[in-house]
This record gives sequence, structure tokens and C-alpha cells, in this order.
Amino acid sequence: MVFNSLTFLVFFGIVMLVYHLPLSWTHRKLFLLIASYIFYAAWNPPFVLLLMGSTVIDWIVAKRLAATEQPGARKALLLVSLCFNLGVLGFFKYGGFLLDNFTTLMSSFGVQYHPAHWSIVLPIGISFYTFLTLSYTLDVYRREMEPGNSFLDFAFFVTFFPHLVAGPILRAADFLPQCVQPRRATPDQMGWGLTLMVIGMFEKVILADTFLAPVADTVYGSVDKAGFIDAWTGTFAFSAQIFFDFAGYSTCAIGAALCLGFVLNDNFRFPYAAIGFSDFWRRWHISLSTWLRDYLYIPLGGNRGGEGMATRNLMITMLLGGLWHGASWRFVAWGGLHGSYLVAERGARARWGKAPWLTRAPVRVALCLLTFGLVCITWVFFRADTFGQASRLLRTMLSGGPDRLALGAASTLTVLGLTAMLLGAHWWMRDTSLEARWQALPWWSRSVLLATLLIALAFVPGDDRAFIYFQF
Amino acid sequence: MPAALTNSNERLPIGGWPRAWLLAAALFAIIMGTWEAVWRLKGWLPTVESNQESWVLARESIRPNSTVLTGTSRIQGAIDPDVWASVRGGDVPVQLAVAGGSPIPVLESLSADTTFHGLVIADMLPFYAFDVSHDAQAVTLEYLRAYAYAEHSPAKRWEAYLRTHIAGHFVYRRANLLPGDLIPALRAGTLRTPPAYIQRPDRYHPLLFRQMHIASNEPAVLDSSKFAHLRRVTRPATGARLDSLMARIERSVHQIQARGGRVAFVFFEPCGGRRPVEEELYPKDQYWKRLTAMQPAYSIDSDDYPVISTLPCFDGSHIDQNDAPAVTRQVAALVSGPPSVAVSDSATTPVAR
Repeated sequence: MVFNSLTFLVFFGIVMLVYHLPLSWTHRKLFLLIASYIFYAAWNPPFVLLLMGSTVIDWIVAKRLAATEQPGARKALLLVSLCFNLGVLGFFKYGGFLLDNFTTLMSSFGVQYHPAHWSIVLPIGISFYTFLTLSYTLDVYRREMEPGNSFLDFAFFVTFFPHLVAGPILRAADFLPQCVQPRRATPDQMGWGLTLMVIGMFEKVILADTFLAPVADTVYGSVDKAGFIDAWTGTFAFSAQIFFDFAGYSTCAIGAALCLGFVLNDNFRFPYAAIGFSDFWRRWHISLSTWLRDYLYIPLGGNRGGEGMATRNLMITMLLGGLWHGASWRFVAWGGLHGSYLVAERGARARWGKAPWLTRAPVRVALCLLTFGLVCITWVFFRADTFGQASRLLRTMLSGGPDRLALGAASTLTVLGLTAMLLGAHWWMRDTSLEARWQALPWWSRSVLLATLLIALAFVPGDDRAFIYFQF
Repeated sequence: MPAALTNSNERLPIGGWPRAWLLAAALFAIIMGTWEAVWRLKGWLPTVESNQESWVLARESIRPNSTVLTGTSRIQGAIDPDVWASVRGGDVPVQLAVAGGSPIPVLESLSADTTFHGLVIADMLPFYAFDVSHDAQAVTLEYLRAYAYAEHSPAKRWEAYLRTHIAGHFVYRRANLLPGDLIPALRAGTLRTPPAYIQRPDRYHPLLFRQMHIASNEPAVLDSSKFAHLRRVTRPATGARLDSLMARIERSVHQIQARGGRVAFVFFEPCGGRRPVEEELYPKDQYWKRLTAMQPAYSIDSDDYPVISTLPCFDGSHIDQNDAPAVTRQVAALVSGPPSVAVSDSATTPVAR
């Protein structure tokens, strides 16, 4: 079930209705748990068992970890959790990729190996809930938190439908305490939660799907015909599309949770206003970047042990972060490029980090545009179907060529206009928040704005494009 | 460990939410209500788009003993599913006909479905079933392909159901009244008057000739010269091509009937100036007679039944929605009787030819 569907509208209406009935807190949590399983099963019912399996395994492992003092036994228990979670992820997400690479490797040695065709359906959201349960086990292993006392609460934490299929990736320490006391949304939470859902839906359905996706699809569907302007238009279109798509989803998720009285952490903070790449990763998919920082980069040694170690750890983290997105070398390349930008930025900061000219507005704007430009170029690897396609498009972006795609001036101007507005809006909001800007509006203009967004949504043709991050 | 991140709740905009949302809801309702009313006053009616989504939904609803309708827009407008269900004890037919489509791919698909042993009523209009120029089969095959590749998840089914049924209640949801189509049409001045048909969620296609004040038996409309272009756009199958099509149909009929299912061929004859053109292009002896020789359970030629053949002629092809109940009852009565035997009721007695 996706947020941008009538089914979700009906589902959410029923959930809100039942949740606000005078039932006990345990019954309401149980209801939300069952509703969350229905939400997940609506896509492919058998995969609910996988979700349940992951929940049960990590619950048991965490309990045993807390009760065991012997380091060997604790490591073995952690290994059970890692093997199960990463094994499931590896089988479903990376099985075909590994097999393809193995076949290629064999053939490079002259061994012709023809495995059976790998046709496994990827369970939706598996990368998200696997990381979520893993973080819980790792926290208990590192004695950074005590395991939960209630299996219902833990299962609810794993399954809670707003975050289940595309994040934000929750932490047990943030969410489990919210399950202890009965919760209902306050009028402010309800009002803002619904507003966030409308804003998120508008970002996804109108901006990403209606205006940007068709242009990006056209360009990436006919890379050979794209000229200089087409190539840049397609790249900007995808850069804006993926932001509106994913940030739209996160906004809806945060809003839906808030309507039920639960608080999810921010996942985006105006990333295209980032000055540099460390700033970008503090603003883009924050729940993943902090997960990678806390459970991969820091355990690897972080920036302790000198520049060389920091570079190595950064590159490993970003390469694996890229691979997390999809079973393809293109995602690894995307992660690798971001890793190398971060390394380069570390070097630049060491040299010029304290220079007074860095704080000047024109320099900051220039650095923001440079960051955005490099992020856009890097998205090419993320969006292209093959390396060949990516390199053809990049060559066209750098060296030019006649535009034969016939995108039309209207499409090009729409994309460029939306990109400019996106950059402007992010810069304007860079050091503040959406909430602060909203609070500053007169109440009637909030109504006008909400009505406008709702009317725009009512006119959407109804092609339900899935969220891009569902595939991860 | 906690993620040590900020969240929206810490910065919650405070106060004024009830009135802000009430005004927003009121503005939304007023603007959308007015927009809807404007189009209704201009004569537009709500309709479900005749798209693959509603077809896939219908195809998914087929049970082993279902009654399935296939063919062209003629049967889509001729068989009223409500009337059919009322005269056949609640048997709601599944409408798989496609405007401008051929029944052959659907017949083959049903014959390949080994669980199916229901009743298939195939509108075997030769003009589409045996045309090899614009390939009516390709039209139907697109729908079958959509069914084959559709994600058959509960969520997709619920979504298609909701979308189909909600769109069926709002005029503004008509594809040509949504901004993507409407704005260019208004700019170009090409927004047409409301079409004389709608489609219901169950894919019934009522034709609203009388409601739209379109006169019946209008010589200017039904003039043969108006249909002369049909000669240019169609190329009837002949020779080996025709034999091959006939063989495919026959194989499907026999497979379905061998499993205990039944197949009824229906030929809704054209009228007015269209009739001589179709008769000339697709002579009955060469097409319809060969079909009836395949021994389907029932062969129904509308000319044989005065209830149908005496209906007023509007556009040469389709009947008005007010006439559909009579046609539906007639066809239902025929397929309820013993196969290939005329029933004794006067309304269903074939007329002498």
C-alpha cells in the first residue's frame, strides 16, 4: 500500500477512527500492529512472515544478549542476528547480483557457468526494516540500551506502518519509550500531522510524478538523442524528482505518525542548500546517514587513527551505503563518488577551513551551487540503467551536442523553473524550519494554501507511480 | 542509541488548527463543488475511463462458472448487467468487450484457462473480428497483456476498485476534463461537446442518444456516404488468413465447450447507411455462416429477433441505453434455453428470413 493511493486514504481513515475509540492502550497498540501487518501484506501477503521472522529473531537475540555475560556467547548471539538479517537481505536483494558477478568472474577465467535464472521478488522495504532491527540488536549488544520489556511494543516498533517500507529508519531508543504511556495526538499534532501529509503528497504526486518524472524518463529513455540542454534538463529533473519523491514520502510518514501521537525523527533538512558534502549528508536521508555513521563508520574507527584511516573508513562507509541502495555497481559508484567528495572536502577543510572568506555570502552561495552541481552529476549513476548510459549522458552534459529529443521549451522551462525554486526554497529555509515558516503565516493563508494543495491533488490523473525508494 | 536528531514535534506550529482546517475544507468543497456543477450543467456526465485498469479488474473477477461478455462496443452497450443479473438469478456478467477490439484473443485466453467452464457471449462482429488492416486483435491483446503483467496484489486490486468506483461518480475526473487534457483543448478550442456514452465501473457502456437529444433514424446521420470511409480503413481477411482465424476460434470454442462451458456467438447487425457497407465488406455467407457452422452452443443473429432488429437506429452501430434492457432480456432468454434450439416464447422466435 502506498501513501499516494485511495486505498491508503481509506485505510488511514479506518485506523484513525479505531485508534481514537475508547480502548485500552494495549488494545490500541495491538490494533496498530495488526493494521501495520495489513498495510504490508496488501503488497505481497507471504512476505509478512519474513517481517515477523525478523522481529522474533531480534527480540529473542536481544533478550538473550542482555541476560548473557560471556563475551563468546554474546558474540555468537550477535552473529545469529547479523547472519539472519544480512542473510535475508543478501538472499533477496543481492542474490542475483552476486550470481551475475560470479558468472562474469568465471567467464573471465574461461569457465562458462550458466546458472538458473534468478527470479526472486524483493520484499518491499526489506533494507529499511533490516537496518532498524539490526540497530536494536547492536545497541543491546553494546549495552547502550536495555532490551524492551514488551514483545508487543517491539513488534509495533518494527512494523509501525508510517516508517515500515521506506523509513525514516527508527531507533528503538527513540521509539520504544513512546510505547509506554498511552498516546493520542494533541490538536496541534493532528493539525500539523495532516498538513505534513498533504505537503508530502503534493511533493510526491504533483511535483515529482506530474512535472519531473516524465522529463527524467524521456531523457534517460533516449540518452542517445539527448543533447546538451536535454541532458542537463533530465539531470536536474531527476535531482528534483528524487528529492520530492523521497522527502515527500518521509514527510507523509512523519505526518501520519504525528496524527497518531507518535514522533519520528527528521529525515531531510533542505539538502540542496548544503554547503559541502558533509553538510549534504547531515541533510539528506538523515536516518540512513546517521545509521551508517553510528553502526559502520564509528565502529570502523571513524576519524581516529589519522587521515589515512579516516579516508579508508569514509570510503568503506559510502561504498556500502551506495550498495545498500541497490544491487548494482552503479550504486557502488554513486556511493564511491560521494565518498571521494567527502574525502576531498576533508582535505580542503584542513587547508582552508578557517579562512575568513569562507563565511562570505557569495562564497557560501558558490559552494552551495558547486555542491548541488556535483550531487546532480552523481545522480546520473543512480538513475541510469547502465554505466554506458550514464557515461553517454555525462559526456553530453560536458561536451554538448544537438538536442534531438524534442523535450519542448515548456518542459525544459518547467524543470529549470522548478529546480530554481527548489534551490531558492532550500536556501531560504536553510537555517530555519518548515514549522517556523508555517507558524509565521496568518491562519487564513494557511487555509488557502492547504485548500490549493488539496485541489491540486484532486486533479491528479491517478497514475500511481511507486516511490523510488520502495525498490531499496 | 538514540539517533540524536531533531523532529517536527519539537517545532510544532501551535494554535489555530481547527479553524485553519475548517476553512481549508470549506474552500476545497466550494471550489470543487462549483467546478463539478459547471460541467454537469454543460451536459457532461460522470464516467469511468475505458482503460486497462477497469479491464484487468473485470478479468480478475472471473470465476470458473462466470458469464463473460467479449467483443466490441456493440455488446458493451447492448447488455445491461443489472437487467441480466435480475433475469438470470443474480448471475452478474463480466464485461471484457473492448471498443474496436476483437473477441478472438479473449476467447483464446478463456479456452487456455483450464478452470473456466462458464458461459462466453462473444460479439462476433466481422468488421472487427476479421479485419486485418487496423488489427483489432492488437487492441484486445494490449488489455490481455496488461492483465498478464499487472501486479495482482490485494493493494492493486483495492486501488483499482476504489479508483474505478470513485471516478464513476465525479464528472471532473473524466480524463478530458483533467488539466492535462483540458488546458490544451481549451487553448486549441477543440473541447468537444459531451460524448453520447459513458462507461460504468462494471464496464457497461450505456449510450445516451435520446438523453442527448440525438434523433433516431436521422437520414443525414445514417446516410451511406457517411460510412464510405469504412471501405478505406478495413481490409477483410480472406483465404488462408481467414481460415487461420476461423481455426483459432473453433479451437477455442471446442476447448471451452469440452470442459462443460458454453459459447454463444452474437451478431449485432448494423443499421442505416452503415449496414450496406458492412454487408458488402463482410458478406454473411463468408463470415457469420462459417462461425455458426462451428456449433457453438448458441448463435444469435440480431436480425432473427424483432425485439432487436426493429430498434431505432442512431449511429449505425449501437443501441440506446433505454433499449438495452429489452435486448438484454432477449439474449438472456436465448442463452438460458437448450443450446442451438429455438425457444417457444413468441418474443424469442426467430423471424423468417
